[in-house]
This record gives sequence, structure tokens and C-alpha cells, in this order.
Amino acid sequence: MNVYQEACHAHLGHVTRRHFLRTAGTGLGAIALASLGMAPAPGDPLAPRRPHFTPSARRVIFLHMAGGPSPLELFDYKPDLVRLDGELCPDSLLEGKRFAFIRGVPKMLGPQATFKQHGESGAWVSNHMPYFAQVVDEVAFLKAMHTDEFNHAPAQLLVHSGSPRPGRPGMGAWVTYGLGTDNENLPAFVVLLSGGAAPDAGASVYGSGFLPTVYQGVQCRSKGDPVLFLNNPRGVPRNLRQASIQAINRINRQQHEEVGDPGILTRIAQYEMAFRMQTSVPEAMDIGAEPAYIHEMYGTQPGETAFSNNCLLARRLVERGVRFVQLFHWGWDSHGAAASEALNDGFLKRCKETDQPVAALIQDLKQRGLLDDTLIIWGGEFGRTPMMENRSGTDNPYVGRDHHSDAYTMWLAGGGARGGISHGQTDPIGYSGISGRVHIHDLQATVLHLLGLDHLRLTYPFQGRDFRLTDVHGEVVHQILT
Amino acid sequence: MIKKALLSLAAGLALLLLMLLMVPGGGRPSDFSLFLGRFHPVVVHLPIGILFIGVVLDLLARRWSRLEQTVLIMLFAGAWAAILAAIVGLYLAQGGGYDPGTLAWHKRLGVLTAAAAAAAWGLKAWPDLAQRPATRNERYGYAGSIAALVLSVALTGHLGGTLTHGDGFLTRYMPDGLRFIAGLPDKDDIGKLQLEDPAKTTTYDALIAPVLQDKCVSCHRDGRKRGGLALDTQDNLMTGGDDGPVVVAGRAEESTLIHRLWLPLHADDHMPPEGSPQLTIAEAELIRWWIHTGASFEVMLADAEVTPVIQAILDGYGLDEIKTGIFALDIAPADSSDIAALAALGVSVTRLAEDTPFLQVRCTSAEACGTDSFVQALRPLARHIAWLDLGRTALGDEALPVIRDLPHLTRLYLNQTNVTSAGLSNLAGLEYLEYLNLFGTGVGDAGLEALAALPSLRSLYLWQTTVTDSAVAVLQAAAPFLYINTGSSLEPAATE
Repeated sequence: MNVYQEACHAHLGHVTRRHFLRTAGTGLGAIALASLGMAPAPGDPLAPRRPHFTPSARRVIFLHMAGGPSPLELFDYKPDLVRLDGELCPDSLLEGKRFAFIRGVPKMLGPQATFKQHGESGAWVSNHMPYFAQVVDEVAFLKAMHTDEFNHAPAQLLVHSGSPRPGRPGMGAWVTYGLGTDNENLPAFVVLLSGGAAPDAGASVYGSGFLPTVYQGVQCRSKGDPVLFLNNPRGVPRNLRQASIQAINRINRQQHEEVGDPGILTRIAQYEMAFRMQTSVPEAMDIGAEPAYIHEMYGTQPGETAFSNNCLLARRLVERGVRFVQLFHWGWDSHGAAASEALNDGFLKRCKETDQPVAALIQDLKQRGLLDDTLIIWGGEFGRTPMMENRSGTDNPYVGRDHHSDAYTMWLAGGGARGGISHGQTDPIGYSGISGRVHIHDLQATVLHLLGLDHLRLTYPFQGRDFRLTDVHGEVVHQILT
Repeated sequence: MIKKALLSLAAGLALLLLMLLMVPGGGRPSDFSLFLGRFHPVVVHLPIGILFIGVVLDLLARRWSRLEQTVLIMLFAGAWAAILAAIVGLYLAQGGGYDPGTLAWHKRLGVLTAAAAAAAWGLKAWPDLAQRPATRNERYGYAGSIAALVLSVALTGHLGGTLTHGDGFLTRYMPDGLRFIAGLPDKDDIGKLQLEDPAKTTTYDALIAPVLQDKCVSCHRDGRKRGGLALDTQDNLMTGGDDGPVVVAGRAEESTLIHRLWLPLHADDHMPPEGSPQLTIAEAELIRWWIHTGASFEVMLADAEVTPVIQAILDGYGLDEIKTGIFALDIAPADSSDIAALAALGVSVTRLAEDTPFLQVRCTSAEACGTDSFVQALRPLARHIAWLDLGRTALGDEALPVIRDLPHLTRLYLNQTNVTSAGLSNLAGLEYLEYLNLFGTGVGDAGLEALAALPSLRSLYLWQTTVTDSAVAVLQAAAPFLYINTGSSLEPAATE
């Protein structure tokens, strides 16, 4: 052995010993196996952790309307746009702008809805959301949201991970990393999909990025097995499965003691979690256990993959202590190029599918006393232009709008968001925010704030620097906090 | 040489006088003038030191005449330093934020200091220039200038200190005997609000109206209603502004008035606007407390529910940060081994925040909670538990007596348990309890009677219990600020 090899060898010895000492003290290694089916041990990456300051929200339900629902047909009432319907868009609005599909000079498109004020707060809601109109007093509207991206995948990534490119953890992963879970038997971060397709950006919108994978969102299904690949193989009883997991984890622990790779601890925790989930998840995901009046309230479709089912599931999950429930409902991309994506067809169906369950979710959480500390977030990845998009340039029976990143509406309810207020304003045609503009990073800072987390201090070291959900941006929108 | 020096000093003084007339004025000063201004604290110590040494040397020169020339140099340098300090001082004053009366005198005396130093130097240097002994008038003039110089340096310096450190900085820790001679109250009484007889004056008149008058009414009064809001009379205060009422009696956190005060200073909606005199935290807390306790114009100060925080404000201690309810209490952090013992039962236990000793406890399974070992594990943490979630367990009334020993509970979840009216008597002493969830329990009308007296309770959930509407109405009448939810139905709104 020459001197160089000897030095490498000695270095390796230092590394592994240091890694071992570091993780054995606080990590899972020493105690992981003993805890199968028992309380989470200290050092468990999912153990509950104290926030930075006293939280007002303890849980989050994020209703992501994938595709970008049009605020001009829902909450942002623009009477002037009625008058301008069919006029050519003035050049001044187009200068220096880029759109996803609009080319040349488009025509303005009036609101494809009628509006009325509702509730004590007098919030404007269109005729497409009659149920939601009943609960507006619980809701804080953000009328002048804006984002940096006008295509679905990067915009969705920005909403969830704070960056338009893949590789960063989703909001639910950050929150779980910051606060841990209140229920060791269920995933801390659950994802529920509906609408016939996954989000354009794929699973990376709820991935864990550079955080330990134990924080990634677990997709659950309302039809068939709630979590895929969780069942025991035929002929393997539960106690045999337990024994084999214990054996695997014992070997994994030895391996961890030798090489000190924290990824192994994550793997051990996930095996344990999967084993516990075999009994707890089917119970939580069984909406058949709900009484008929609850099904009626949400308008569920048992046995189907439906947004309404997912709303009811979201309530069942937060009741059981799940920290972050992420819903995606696909199909809000109302370009007007086909029936399914037209403001006068597919859009109306999306409204009908979501209106009642969303209102029911707010109301149901409220009467259970859970809305006080459960934050609901509603919104898409961007808004839509006040101009009509006519991609083919021909007469067709469908109307639609293009993607628009400058101004759109999102809302928050519960969890310390101030009900019955509207923050921010857009110009008379809903093209740009003129006051109270809120960027995606500001929204993220606000959500973390409600959970008691300081977005500047919730960091994770990766590739030589500390990363945040809000990157180097973000201001808490104090105006909408109670 | 002396002639040139004399001319330059005269020019310097003229420039200072010119600036005194030109520099003040409204509008936002430029960044560069503020940059210059911030050198005032540096420059200002030069004339003080130089002139002090000059005066001392002048006294010594009466014995050792060879010091005469040094005195001249000191007075000249001191005069110039005073002129420079006064000029940058004028720029600093542009930034605003100083008490105008004190500032005006500080300015005048600063200019006087420069003038007195220049005069003293001139009166001493002039005879030398003329190569003759000083006349009688020049000698008296010189002595008078030195006297004026000593006085003005002392007074200008004192006023400058007052501007920077606030009134009473010098006398704050003065012995009481000296304070008595100076006509000041005893140290212990400093800052104490000078209240009229608390039995004869209302809380509003004594504590709230003066703050509004002082900090808000200049923009919000009849005749000048910014945002449609006037705060000069009781009626106007309760009427609110363009966006509706600003005071929701009993619910301070939902009151726009409090909201605006609490927003960060740089937020658009923060009141008073950035740059205007701000409410102290103690003043904001007084208003919050007044709204929280019902926003009454009738309650006499002697009858008000004075919390320890408010008492501290009344006693003049001020507040460094807003702390209300349990957060105003001084409690040592819990022992980590006690927390670990409770967590070992399968109960989720975390601190509410990093800088508070209070805990949130959540019970996820009936097996872990309700047992004797659970109750035993709660005991050592009794003073620390603020949020206790026992919901969705099979707990019954027999588990509730332990709650009697948790004095600092603010949120209690008993939803979907076997608790009944009988168990609620254990809640009677929870003076900080704000939130109580009894949804899906066996609680009936009898249980509500125990709740009316809980002073801090603001949210109560009673869906799927056996309470009757009439009993809820009675409770609502007894506790007007309490939000009571007994469930609701969902029908679509008429949208056409």
C-alpha cells in the first residue's frame, strides 16, 4: 500500500466514523427497529416539530385547479369588459408581451358569466359558483396574484416548489420537513388527483426534491387500492410481512452504521410507514363510512375518481392529523379550441364538478371546528387573458382565453386567513394588478407564516448553500391575516 | 494672516446663517443631504472638546501668558468646527422625527455657539492685529463671549442629548433627593399614567380617547375624514369608515382598527402612515384590550377587568412587544424529560413556538389517552399545556378532572368523544380558554351553563350535540362575543 492509498483509506475511516457519530446521536439508526408499530422515536424525520412562532394553521388543503381557471368568469367582475366585447385589442396592451398562443391582434372577450355580490362581505361571485357564493364570508380573496410563467408545467412548479424548473421540493414537502406529522400512521403529505390527467409538471410538483424522500407527497386514490403497491403478496400474512421488514431494516441499519448514508434512514422509515399504512390508510380512505347526508353535502360519486370524493377524503385526512393534502383537478385550460376546453362548455363542467364540494369542504370543516386551524388554498397556476384566443382563426362555437401570468385570483380560507376580505385589485379589464399585487413567492411566504414558519428560516442545505421555498423572494401578505 | 482668518470665519458664519434660512422647508430631502446630515453626531463632538479645552487654557493663560497663542488657535478651530457641526446638523434635522420645540432651541443655540466662539476669537485677535493692548470694551466683550460660549455649549449639548435619547434621559436615575430639588416626581412614579379617580372616569375617557386624539384625529375627524373615518367622537368611532365598522366589540382581532395598527410599518394599509408618529406598543395594547373587553364607553376604570399586562402599562412599565393572554405569563420552560415521557405514550407533543414554554398536545389514539399513565404524564406539564386535542378518542367524563389542573389551556378539543354535560364543570376555572370543540359529544343544555362564565371563550362548536336552540340563545345572550356553531346546511345561492 503506497502513501496515497493509505491516506485515502484513513480519510474514508474518518468520514464513516464521523457520519456514524453524527447520525447515531440524533438519527434513526440506533432506535429505528425497536419502534415498529410503536411511538415514533426522537430523531424520526417525521416526528412533530415546533414551529418558529405560534401558528394559526396546523394543516393545509391545497385545491390546485390545474390549467388555470379564468378569474374573469368566476370572481373578478369587470363590467367594462362587457362593453369591450368583440373590440380589437389596442396595441398598447400587446407591446412587449408574449402569450402562449395568441398571435397578431386578438379581440377582447366579455365575461362569460353574470355576477352578483354575496354574503355580508359583498364578494362578487359569478353564476357558475352558486354553492361557493354561500361561503364567501369565510374566504380571503387575492385578486391581483401574478406569476413569472405562462406555460403549465413551469407555472405549476413555481406554485408548488418556488422554482419553474424541476428539482426543488414541493410546498407540502417543505411543510412536512418543517413541522413533521401529527399522525405517524398516515403519510404526512397526501396527494389526490382527479380530472382525468396528472398535473402537466408530473409528480415533481409534489416531490421532495433535495429533501429526504420521506417528505415527498404520497399519492392516494379514491378508486381501487388507495395506495399502489401497499398490499401484501398473496399468501403472506401480516406477521410474516412484519418479520421480513424487521429483518430488512436490521440489515439496513447495519449498512447505515458502516457507511453513514442518511438515505438508508429514510428507507428504514419508509418501510415502517408502509407497514403501518397497510391498516390505517384503507380506514382513512374509506368514504363509505360517511353518513348519507355528508355524501349529499359534497355531491360525491362513490366508486369513481371524482374531485368531490377527494374533497371529502381531504377532510377525513386532516381530521386524522395529515399535515398537507394536495388536490389537483385537471381541465381548467379554457382556450376555446375544443369543447372540453371552452369557457362555454368544459369550463362550466369544471365549475359544476368543483363548486359544491369546495363549498361543502369549507362548511364541513367549519361545523367540525376544524376551519380555525385548517388552511384551504384555492387557485390555478396562472390566470387568463381578457382577450379571446382564436387559435385557428376560424368561426367555431367555442370561446376561450389564453394563459395569462400578470393578474389572476386565488383565495385562502380558514387557518388564520381573514374571512370576508378581498386583497388587491386589477385594472378595469382584469389585465394587470393595480394594487395589492401578490407574487407566488409572497403567497408561499404567507402560507408558511400561517403555519408558524418563517420562510426565511425554513432552509435546507444543498450543494453548498441553504435553499428556501421562496428562493430569495417572498413577503408575507399581512393584510389577509387575522 | 489673521486678517484672512478673520474673513474666512466671517464667511463661514454668513454661510451658516444663510443656510439656516434656506435649508429648512417641506418635501422629502434628497438622500445625499441625509447622508451629510448623519455626520452630525461625529462632527458635533469636535467643537465641544476643542472649545472646552480653549476655555480651560484661557483660564490658565491668566497665570502663564505663553498659552495666549494656543487659546487663539483653539477658539479659531472650535469656531470652525461649530460652524461645520451646525451645517451638517441642519441637514440631519431635515430627516424629521424630532420634537419640533426642542429642535428649534437646539438649532438656535448651536448657531449661537458658533457665533460666540467666533466673537471670542475675534475680540482676542483684533488687538493683536492692530498691535495694541486690548481696550476695556474688548476685554469685557471677550469675557462675555466666553461666558455665552460656555452656556451655549452646555445647553446645546444637553438639548442634542434630549433629541437623541428622549426627555428625562439625564434625570431617569437621579437620586430622589436631587429629583425633589429639581421639582421632579420620585423615580418609582416615572411614566405612571396620571389618572383621574378611576371610579369616576371611564376606561375609554381615561385610556383610549387620549391615544386616538394624540395619534389619529389629526387625519380622522369631522371635517377631515380620511377614508371616511373619524375617530374624534364615540359615535364616529363606532360608525367606522368607507369599508365599514372598524371596531367589532369583543373581537379585537377582527377589528380593522387593530388590524391596521398591527400591520408591519411598511405595509400600505398600516396606520398611522409611515413617517407619522406611531402608537407605542402599550397604546396599541390598551386599545386592543378595550375592544376585547367589549368596547364599552360606560365601564369605569375601577370596574374594568385589568389583566397583568394592562396593569403593567398603567404602572408605566411600557411594553417591548405585544403579549396577550397566556403569552404575557412568565413560565419556566417544561422539563424535556417530562415532554419525552408524554410523547413516549404515542401522543404528539410540541412546543407552540420556539420562544414560548407552552405546548400543544394531540392525542391520536384512544389507547394512548385517557389511561392513568396519560393523566400522570400530563401532570408535570400542567402549566405548559395550551392546546389540548383529545378529539376523536373514546374519552369520557371520567378523564376530564385532569383539565382542572391545566390552568393555561387556550384551545381544547373534545369533539367526537363520550364527554357529556356532567364533565364540563371541570372547565370552570379555565380563564384563558378561547376555543372549545364539543362537536359530536353527548353535551346537552345543562352543560352550557358552565360555559357562560368562561371569560376568554370566543369560539364554541356544538354541532351534533343535544343542545336546544333556546339554551344556545340563552348562552349567546350571556356571552355576546362568543361565536357559537351548531351546524349548518348548504344550499346553492340564487345567482341570477
